[in-house]
Amino acid sequence: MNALHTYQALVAAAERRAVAKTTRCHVHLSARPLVLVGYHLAGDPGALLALMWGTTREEEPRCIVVPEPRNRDLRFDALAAFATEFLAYLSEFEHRDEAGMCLDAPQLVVPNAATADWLGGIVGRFTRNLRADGDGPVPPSVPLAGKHLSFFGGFMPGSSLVLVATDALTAHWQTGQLPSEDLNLAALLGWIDPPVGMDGPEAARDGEASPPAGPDSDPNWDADVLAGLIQEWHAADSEASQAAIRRELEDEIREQLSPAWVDCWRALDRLNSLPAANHLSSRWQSDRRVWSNHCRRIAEGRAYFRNIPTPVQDATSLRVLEARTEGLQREMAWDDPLVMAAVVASGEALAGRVIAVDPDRRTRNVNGRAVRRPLITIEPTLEFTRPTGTTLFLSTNPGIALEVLPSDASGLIQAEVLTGANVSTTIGRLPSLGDEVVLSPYGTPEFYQRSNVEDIPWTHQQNFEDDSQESQ
Amino acid sequence: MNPVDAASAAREAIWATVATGTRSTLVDSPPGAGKSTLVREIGRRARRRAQVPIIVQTNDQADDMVRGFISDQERGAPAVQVGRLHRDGYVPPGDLGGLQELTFSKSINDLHDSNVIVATAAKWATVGLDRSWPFAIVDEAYQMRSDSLLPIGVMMESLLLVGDPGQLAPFTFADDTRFRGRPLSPVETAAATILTTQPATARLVLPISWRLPSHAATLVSDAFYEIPFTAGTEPHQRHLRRGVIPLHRGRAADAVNSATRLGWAYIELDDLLMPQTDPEAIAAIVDVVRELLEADITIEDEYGIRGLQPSDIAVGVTHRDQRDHVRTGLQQARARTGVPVDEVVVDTANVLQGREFEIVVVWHPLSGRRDASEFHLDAGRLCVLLSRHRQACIVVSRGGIREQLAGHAPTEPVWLGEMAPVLDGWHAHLTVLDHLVQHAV
Repeated sequence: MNALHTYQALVAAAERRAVAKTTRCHVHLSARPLVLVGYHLAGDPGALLALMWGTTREEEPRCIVVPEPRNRDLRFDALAAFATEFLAYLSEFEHRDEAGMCLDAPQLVVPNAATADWLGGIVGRFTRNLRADGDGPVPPSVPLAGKHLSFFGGFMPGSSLVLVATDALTAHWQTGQLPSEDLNLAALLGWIDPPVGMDGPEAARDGEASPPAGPDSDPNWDADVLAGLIQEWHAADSEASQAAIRRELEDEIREQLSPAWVDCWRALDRLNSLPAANHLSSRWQSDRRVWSNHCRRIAEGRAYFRNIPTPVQDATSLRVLEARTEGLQREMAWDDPLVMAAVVASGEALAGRVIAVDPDRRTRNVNGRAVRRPLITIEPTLEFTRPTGTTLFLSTNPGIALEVLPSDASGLIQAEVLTGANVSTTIGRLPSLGDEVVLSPYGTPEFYQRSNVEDIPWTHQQNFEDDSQESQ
Repeated sequence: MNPVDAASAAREAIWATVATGTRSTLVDSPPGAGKSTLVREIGRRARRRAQVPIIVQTNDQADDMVRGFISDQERGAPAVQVGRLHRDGYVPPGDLGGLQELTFSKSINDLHDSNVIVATAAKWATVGLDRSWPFAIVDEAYQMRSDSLLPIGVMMESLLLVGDPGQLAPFTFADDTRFRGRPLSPVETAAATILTTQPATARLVLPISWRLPSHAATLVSDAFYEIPFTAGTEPHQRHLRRGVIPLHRGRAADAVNSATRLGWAYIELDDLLMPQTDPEAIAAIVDVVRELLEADITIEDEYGIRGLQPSDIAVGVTHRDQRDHVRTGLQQARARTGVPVDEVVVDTANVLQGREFEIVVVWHPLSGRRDASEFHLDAGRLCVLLSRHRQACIVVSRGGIREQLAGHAPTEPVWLGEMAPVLDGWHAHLTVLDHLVQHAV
């Protein structure tokens, strides 16, 4: 754990309230998000019990329940009801500009990562390939919704297409409790946004007492309420009495899921109170591009999702994942002084005041040619102990690369500009005397031209024995 | 059979296998068993049939490979034209400039006349996949990630993969949850991928370590290797001699004494939980390096007698911030004392893989930690650190490693469908510790 975050966690514990880890909001917040919470039957993630969703906090959320979660007909009826509304919501985001890019993209908001994994992973996976014809047909909306859910299941770091409330909050605030305790949205919000008259830990204990945010329901409630209602539903002898029991179950479910639904909106409010970070729009732009491509594939009937991706697909997604992970880290640090402060605290970045600038300094390079290498001298705020030769980049202009020179006993750091501000046209980008600067390890990323592998080569083709037996 | 004959018999067996035209051959090699020699020899033989691409993992390894070809020729090996394919902006090392048999280029189009072409896997991924070669050699196949093998597989019709199974597996800094437990996961090693997809792969071993001295080979073989190996040299062939006997005594001096006499030394600092960049550990390492350079040590080995240079010494650490702090500490010590301690190589285990030094100072991966996580327990990490030296190894650590191992509760998830590591890091650590405490100073 980063030194600054450890300190913030201790401050949070001592002051009994969460501490801000950022000064900016690093997730995109849609004007019209779809907040989605739900339960499945205990021990059976495939058996949907209830879903609750809506796009504004004022409305009463929509809710579906399955009075007997093991009954497949009922399960798919409920999924169809959800699918219709889900597809209607998504269709709002299909308008395109002249370039063929969707004007906006949808955003799913879920309380925790477990719900996101359940909906995008399990529910998406078991519905996306269902058939609307043949034996046991399902309404066509179900597999279509399953494809969309699967799309939302494969998100990358920095993407805001799916906003996991606990993840988003812990990226912006540090609580004084354990990271595993932060997985409980109600407890986490207790630390960040305690009700009047309560401190963080009190509000967190209070939150822990409220019904779980899903996708697993409270086992006591299962035993005391759900089991009885399911039994009654089986015992009911008329459609009218079954409908009555279904309504009763829906009321119970609403009581259980409402806290999580409200908490999702509270989380959005807290995030909304922060000004948006600079690089957010470009990340959302890329989300829109991904969404546009997905819509096109759906429209053309080409939206396929493999249960096990091919090695070529895996290699591509690993490369994207690595680039996105690094990119997000970099952009957050550039955008947010408090995030950068954590990098300074770890000793990787150098913060300080410029006390001398020599823009005309020349030295000889390895080939003996005279080159312009402007020199800046910095009085560091924190002791900087990285070795001579470390390459750093100016945080306000990451195209400028500097190398740390041998230091004397004065404690001042001298750094020479390698690129980005060493010719007459760029020399103006140098910081001025008296500027507070941060030199960080985050430079402008380099792009490499790579050849794209299309077919799986022999080194990655797995021949299973039964194939060869069949061919004999 | 003496070690020299055994090693050359192993090489002949490997060539015989390759010459039959097998599609994939995998050679497991312990540290310093002549892996690079094998790659060059097979390269020289196979180039008679066609140009041979050699795929390495880092630019340092590529430069070392090129150097190997040059020095082979100086010793009388048949001349080959070596092409070194590199990225734009790469500056060839000074000692490789102006050689007739060597061509540097950033484009494969300039290397038609080369008999062998050496480049990193990352560079090979850029040459355009419409080309093809009948046979290529992959060096450090246990260090190469499966996704880097994809473009190689497209271009090369058959492969000889050579690697050290005891080394650190490749990794990603990204969250790799979605790839775990999958067949042919992109974060697997290239060697594991080939073994999965090509069950007919011929597997051979190099049985003798030329690098490790006899007193280290047994330990490293026992602790880290499934297939045992032995040292190629006799104990009397390798020696360190001190020129200067210091008047002052201290742990650093004792450690250097122990290392020169027995080939091992273990400095155990007080048992304390410390941050990753433990200042006392850094100070101890700096002292040891300074003592090594001031002791006027002479190296004796099968090649002759010479003085110990700073570049013969490496400091192996676990984390990059440890590397930076040790480098800074050495730079400050040089400024203070004038001893060129900052000229020794300081790097993480990942970067030191495949490299060789006379003396290695190791900062124990578990030193001062509260948690013995999977990362720090990784047998490969310790194995790399303890198998880089030809003469002696000095380990610096906080005490309490044994308690830490005993109290360690594994917290990492178990991935279904993933093969358990052949080696248990926990057990390897204990074996090494049992050995080290005998050399505590």
